[in-house]
Amino acid sequence: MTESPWKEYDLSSTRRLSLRIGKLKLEAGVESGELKIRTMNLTPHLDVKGPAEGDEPEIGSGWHRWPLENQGHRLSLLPMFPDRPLIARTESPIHLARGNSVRVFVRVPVWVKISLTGERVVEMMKAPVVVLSKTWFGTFMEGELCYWLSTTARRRISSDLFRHHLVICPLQIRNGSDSELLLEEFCLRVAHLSIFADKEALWADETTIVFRGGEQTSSIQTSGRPPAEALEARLLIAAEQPGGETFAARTFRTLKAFSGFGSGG
Amino acid sequence: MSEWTLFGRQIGEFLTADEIKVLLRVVVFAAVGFPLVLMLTRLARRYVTRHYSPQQGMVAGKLIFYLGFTILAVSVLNELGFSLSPLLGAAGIIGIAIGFASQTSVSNIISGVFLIAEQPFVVGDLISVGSTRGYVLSIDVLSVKLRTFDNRFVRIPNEFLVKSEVTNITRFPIRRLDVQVSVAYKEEIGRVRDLLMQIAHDHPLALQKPAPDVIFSGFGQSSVDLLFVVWVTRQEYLALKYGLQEEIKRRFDEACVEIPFPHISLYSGSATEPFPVKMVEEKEE
Repeated sequence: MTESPWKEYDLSSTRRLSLRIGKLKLEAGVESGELKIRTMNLTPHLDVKGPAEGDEPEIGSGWHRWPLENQGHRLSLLPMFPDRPLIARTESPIHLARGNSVRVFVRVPVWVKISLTGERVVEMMKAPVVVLSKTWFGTFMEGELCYWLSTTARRRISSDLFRHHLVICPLQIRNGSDSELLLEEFCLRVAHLSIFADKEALWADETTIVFRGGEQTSSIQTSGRPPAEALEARLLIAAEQPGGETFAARTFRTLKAFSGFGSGG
Repeated sequence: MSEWTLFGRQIGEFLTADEIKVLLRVVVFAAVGFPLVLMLTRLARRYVTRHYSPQQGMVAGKLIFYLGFTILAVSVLNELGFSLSPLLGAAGIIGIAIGFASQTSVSNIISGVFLIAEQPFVVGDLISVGSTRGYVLSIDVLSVKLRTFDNRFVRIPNEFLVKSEVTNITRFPIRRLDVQVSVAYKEEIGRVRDLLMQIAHDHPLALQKPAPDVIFSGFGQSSVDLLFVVWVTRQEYLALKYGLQEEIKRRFDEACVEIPFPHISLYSGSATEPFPVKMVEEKEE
């Protein structure tokens, strides 16, 4: 298992920092009173499982520069969730009978938050470790833009699946409707999740989703603390929107056809 | 004696003291009233824009301006001693005459009211009217103003818009991009479909849901025609349109998928080889 990249780096003693986090290559250095940072995503649209056919030519941004005044030369890297909700599509759908519940794990690729620490913390930039495809969650007339994630939705998680650039999100899904729930795609509202870290992996707090059926919004609650599998994990990043609350949100797509030819809702 | 004093005496010869006072009041009215109307117009537009929409802000601003200007004009006329009753009486007769002469303008004004009430489009939308396509700059009393892609200014009378078919291209948040793809008859359609779906999956702007699709359009004269549909957010439609077609060409070249140019094959019979054509050089004597 490689060393965790989530820490501070002293740039005053290092000419250039070069890191590989997932499929993100990050380079940083201090030169002539300027901080320079460059990020490159290798093999865009890589899903969480890994590259399809090895690395492809690098694409990404060029160097970004920040003039340094009295800031320190310590660079802090922290993980954060993507800036939009995620639509997770299970590779094999799960049939959840009325009244039943299931606990699954979804691994979400993080974004890297790069900050300069010193007298005060100055956020420099954010970059995704994996460039996810976009998708639309809603109807043809209204909805929200989300990221697309393919997941195996494991029932158990083992240490060979731990990665420093993937947050393991435990989900407890309960079918509170009158009919069977076909768990094929669901919306993961990551703005309500915190990130905890232990020695081996990143964890999100447990999310409980209660499906109420049809077009009704689901009830979602986040625990606000590390899951049972990682009770010793420490808080790295708090949720953007406070956890521990119950809120209602659209989580499951309707069963109506949402085909590319505009039929259905 | 100073020039100003001389000037004042000359004015005094033509105007009485009361008349001078009235004139001064009118000047003060205009000098204070007009900037006040402009300020109120700006405040109203800003307030309504912030709390509602730019379109409604524009309407509110215009309303305040015309109303304020009318009140100011009536006040000034009143101050100058003009009675408005005869004016109103004459206005009735003149109004009838003007009404007949300005039917089109009145129709445009009423059409404008309907456009604002119905809101088939708002300021900022991309609309298509006939052969004209552009972004709505303003919805005014008589007309709607558009800015085309090549930065031309187009004025369309409101009456024309109410009577015509108007397409609001950016009303909904997502749009479907249709790309006609033609491949040679020798190509395996399944392989081409898989390639196109992979292109859609890999493109950063293409949405995964609604799902992209490849439809067999028909048998063309020189090619097999496919319709490749991909969904995208309205803001990124053009970027996807230009980028996707380039990517299709690149991937087809990589995968040696032939995009045929129009051609005709001549056959001497039902299933024979094409006519052989042989160039014969003339012998020099």
